[in-house]
Amino acid sequence: MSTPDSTAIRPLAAIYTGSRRQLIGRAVAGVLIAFFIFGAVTTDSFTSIQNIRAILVATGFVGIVAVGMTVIMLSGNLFSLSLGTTVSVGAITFLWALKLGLVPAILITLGVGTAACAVQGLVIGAIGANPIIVTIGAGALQAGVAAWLTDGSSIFPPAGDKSFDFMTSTPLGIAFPVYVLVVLVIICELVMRRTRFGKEVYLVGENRQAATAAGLRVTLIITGAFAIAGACAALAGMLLGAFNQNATLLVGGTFTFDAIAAALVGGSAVTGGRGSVTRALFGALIIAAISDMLLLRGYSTGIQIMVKGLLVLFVVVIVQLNAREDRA
Amino acid sequence: MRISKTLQSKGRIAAVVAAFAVVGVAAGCGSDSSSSTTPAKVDTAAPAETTAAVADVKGKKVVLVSCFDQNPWCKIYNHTIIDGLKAAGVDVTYLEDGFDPNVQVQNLKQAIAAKPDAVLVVASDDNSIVPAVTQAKAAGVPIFNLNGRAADGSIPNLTSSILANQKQLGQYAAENLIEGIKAEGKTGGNLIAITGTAGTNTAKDRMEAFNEVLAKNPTFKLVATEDGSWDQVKSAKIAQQLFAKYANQGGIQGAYGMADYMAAGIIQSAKQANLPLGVKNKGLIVTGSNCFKVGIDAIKAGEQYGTATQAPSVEGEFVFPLIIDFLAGKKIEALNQKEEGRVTADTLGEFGEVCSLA
Repeated sequence: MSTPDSTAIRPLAAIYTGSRRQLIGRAVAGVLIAFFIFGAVTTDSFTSIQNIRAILVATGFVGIVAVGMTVIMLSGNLFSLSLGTTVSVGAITFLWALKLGLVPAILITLGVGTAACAVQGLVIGAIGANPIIVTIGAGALQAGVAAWLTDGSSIFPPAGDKSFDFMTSTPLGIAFPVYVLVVLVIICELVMRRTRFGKEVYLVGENRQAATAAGLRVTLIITGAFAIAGACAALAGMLLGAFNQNATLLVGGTFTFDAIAAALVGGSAVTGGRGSVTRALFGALIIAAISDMLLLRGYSTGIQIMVKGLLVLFVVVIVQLNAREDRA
Repeated sequence: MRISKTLQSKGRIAAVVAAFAVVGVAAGCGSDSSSSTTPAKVDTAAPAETTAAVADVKGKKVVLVSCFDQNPWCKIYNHTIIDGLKAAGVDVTYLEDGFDPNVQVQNLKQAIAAKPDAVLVVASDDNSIVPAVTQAKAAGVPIFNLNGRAADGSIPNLTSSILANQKQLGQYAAENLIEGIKAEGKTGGNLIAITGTAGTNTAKDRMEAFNEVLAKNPTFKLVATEDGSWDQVKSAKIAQQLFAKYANQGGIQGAYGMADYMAAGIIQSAKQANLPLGVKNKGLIVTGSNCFKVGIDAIKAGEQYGTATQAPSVEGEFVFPLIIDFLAGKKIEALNQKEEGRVTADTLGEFGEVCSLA
């Protein structure tokens, strides 16, 4: 007669629990996909070319910010609550700097956005400061400096300046920011998968203490992750300024939370180390498509916001269940 | 030791990067003559008797609780009021809330506790300030509601309301769309409206008047009303989705963006959807209903048919003489509304300058 071995029982329990979690996750995902397909088929005009273009336009700006937000998430620093403000600062800087020429305006804007966020990454990486607190403070600082320098006024491009018109063009009927987003995703995905820096971002995000113990340049990596996010936000701001033809500190609107939602819906783990910028692209696309579907079906703004919230919640639960199973 | 050295090194990097960021922002956003916000003089001078009243109000205390200077419209509106009151010797405290109702209520409580001679409030949310207005009345502090109509619960406790005529703004928007579409030789059409924050009295009043005009012109049909939340990007996104939705249902002939910058978003979306714009191209007719420079420029370019005034400097200059009168002991009406103007290419000479400040 043998006594059950406790070390043998644990893995079995873990497998059982893991399978159940996986089943729940897949069931929820299946229901969501089924709802989406049903909605797409039964919503008038949803599959029209013009509407697909509208969905892509809605994806463009948010997707670019979401790419940056995802890199921060992958580095294990939750998310930045100041990227929306950096978008506004980018739009303001770009439109003003156009008086110096298009290329200087682009370089200055990218430089300002990159530097503003790199400083935040440096503080977080070097002293282990809480990213939420640092980015809230940095957002207020950016807004304050920009409000002081612009005197609260709207900024317009120089009269008659057409040099940036290509940013609002629609090659092959698709808005220019969509092309920018696709190129950005390809570049970032290559950087994250093929370079030492990218691989170290994943390692730091997975386990910062282990990465530190292994001698990885943790502070530099986190600074780099935030710098990339800042460059993405500045890029979005530049395109937004060109689209709006005016800029104030308010143009950043809901970009911070929309980008967080896109990154989460894309399936990146908020705790770091898991996910990809490509997933963020799909996250932004899914949110834009569902928002569009609800609007076409005549649902109110309140319902649209509620559904977006539920979607984020469902995906976070699924990701969490899968992550637990992987650990088990 | 290594950590210390690392931190020292990183500290130097931080200093360089921070300096770069600040210099960069400064370089990007320095003084710009094209963005000057000095309010223009307009022909809405204070009533004659106000001049005499000025001597009686020196040293009186007023607290202005309002939206913040990061919003160009708010900045000009608030500072026109502040400058006008200060010129009369009134001591003005300005509490900004950033359109946050919670902050605004805290600011109101703080203002009431200071027992000033008057509190002026531009409500971020009509309903959330009802308790604070009641509290002001109970504390004997005169409180004035500015710009948008107050919630019904506030009205009995208000000293006075000094408002933009929101219904006129909505009425002019509808008239602009109908006139523009008729100028293209059409007798009717599908319209969309993208509003400011739904549920606020400002949006409700404008849409009520807008719909009243449409009711008299039944060939013009409002097919969609969506909440654009005073957000240009959101308005642009909604517009493009609605263009797609109605592409096979007769299309959209007219679009109303409740603010000019929302109308600008609609115009950009129309361009991206390759829709023609303006009477000249027999395309989409777009209107705003409170004027900004971006709208005036679009009217000049023929891309926007019209808008309506609610110019911040003019609205502000309507407010402060009435407050001075009140502080001097004069009776003012419970409801004071500023007459608004309809802006089209034909009236740009009259309104173009004051509408280009924000």
